[in-house]
Amino acid sequence: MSLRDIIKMIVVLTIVSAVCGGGLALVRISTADQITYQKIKFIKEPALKQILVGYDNDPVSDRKEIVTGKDKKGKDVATTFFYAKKAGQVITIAFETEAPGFAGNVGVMMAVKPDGTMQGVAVTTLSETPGVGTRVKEDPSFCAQFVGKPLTANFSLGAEIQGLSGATVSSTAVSNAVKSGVELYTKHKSQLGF
Amino acid sequence: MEDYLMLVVSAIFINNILLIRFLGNCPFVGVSSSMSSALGMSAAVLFVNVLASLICWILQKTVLDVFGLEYLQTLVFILVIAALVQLVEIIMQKVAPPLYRALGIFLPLITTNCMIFGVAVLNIKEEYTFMQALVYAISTALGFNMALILLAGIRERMDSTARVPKLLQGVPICLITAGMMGLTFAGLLGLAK
Amino acid sequence: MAARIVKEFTKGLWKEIAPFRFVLGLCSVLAVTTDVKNGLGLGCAVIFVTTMSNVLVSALRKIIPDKVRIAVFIVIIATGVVIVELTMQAYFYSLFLVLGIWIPLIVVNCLVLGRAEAFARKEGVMLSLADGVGMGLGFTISLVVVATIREILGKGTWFGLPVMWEGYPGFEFMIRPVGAFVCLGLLLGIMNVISARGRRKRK
Repeated sequence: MSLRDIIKMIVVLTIVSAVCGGGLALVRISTADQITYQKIKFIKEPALKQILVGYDNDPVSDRKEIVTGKDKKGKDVATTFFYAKKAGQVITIAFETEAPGFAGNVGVMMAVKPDGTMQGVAVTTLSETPGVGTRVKEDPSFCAQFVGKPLTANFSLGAEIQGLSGATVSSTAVSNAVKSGVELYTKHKSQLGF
Repeated sequence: MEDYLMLVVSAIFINNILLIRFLGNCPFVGVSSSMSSALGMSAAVLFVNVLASLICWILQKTVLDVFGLEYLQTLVFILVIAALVQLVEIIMQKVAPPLYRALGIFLPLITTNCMIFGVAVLNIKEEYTFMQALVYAISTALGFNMALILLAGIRERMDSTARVPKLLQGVPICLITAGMMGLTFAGLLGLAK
Repeated sequence: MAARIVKEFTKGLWKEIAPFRFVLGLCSVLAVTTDVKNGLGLGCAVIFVTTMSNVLVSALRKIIPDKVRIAVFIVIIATGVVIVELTMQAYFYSLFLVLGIWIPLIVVNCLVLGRAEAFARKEGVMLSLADGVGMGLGFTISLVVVATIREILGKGTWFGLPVMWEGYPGFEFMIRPVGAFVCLGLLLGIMNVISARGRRKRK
């Protein structure tokens, strides 16, 4: 094999790889937004549909990320807020919070109206004991207790909210998640833009 | 320790890479017609599978994840595997000629063995640690080997003693046999996750 | 020329239909055929990748040095696969989740590399295009045929629509891995019989 052949080999390989890599980067850039949209839609939409009513926009597209805290390593943690609108007017804002439960964190999607009342609460992720802790998700009467209460209400168990008997830990987790959600909402209200 | 044991049992018996997960079926049909080539293929697969999945794992964690290039995973992994197979071939030819004579012809076939690539991807997908990836790679290869050698044994026996209907001779009966083997493996479901 | 293109296109559909005649790309034929929708989805992805790789390989055939051709082919094929991965993720997310690992695994599907090596490397762009589409379509047809049998017998539905009588219990054997092997084995057997009969007639 002559030197010429070797050089040709290397040049062709490099050019092909570079062109392919560049092409892929372009495809990546042009699909990136759509992919994030699909992922969020797939995971969050079922919970959003449960608690949002009377909107005519796509809350997954009308979302906004706001830095709400820092994790242990000091990196920013963002919370995604979903805006439900009717005729261009924001009617509800939904976002997800979490609190430790019996086994792992319990995720809660909550929706708040601009006038400061609770529109709805839905449990998204939980790994609680099947048939016991999972009742907070399966029993609609539990989450229904939050609906229509002002944000200033005391969402602790035993105050405004009655826990499910036998599933106290999981009920407490949901109520804690809601309380921290309210705190987060009040703190960042000015950034949300309504 | 128990976790690793579970991983091994699950990879070899319950989710057997060939019969239940359908990875690596091309060589499975081609090579299983004789016992000696099945043994050769088994050794080559065990070797390349472990090496490839570890290198891919390291690359994923140190390069792709760090620079946000996860979408290039497919491209990088297949290049690593292809290059690795070539490299192993060259080194083996120089260092261990007898081994090369035994395994050499199986090495090029391995590049398109989807099991090697599949295991490398699964390691990342299941978020295994380095040790888990190592154990998983070894056990999937062992599961592959077991199924391949068993099937080769059955096929050799079948060729010499059984009268297979004409329409099923060759590949069809091989697939049906593999299916029946899969059935016995399915019986182990519930042993572990 | 036009006749040749038609010939290269149609050979992939029956005469050289890859999974059945040459046992190429079996893994995905076995794995994703539990329902027709998945089979069709993967089939379309494969059509795209074979066509793209065939056209590019054929266009570059004069400048690719022989020694590194496999590496170049692999780069081209992998690029096609990543494009499919990204597009599918962006527009057909639920299908992407179901097919999962089988999308990246197209890269090691022997069919794609086989066509690049055996055909596109030697022939012109138009012919390679015809060959790529034909072979990919043949692959899709195989997937859909196997999936049709498995889905109808196993779940009593076709494309998610019920086709069997009401209360059909579903022959679960067929949607299990075992069913895949047995079903494909029998299909290959039937193909053998049909071809043998065709040969006898011609004589």
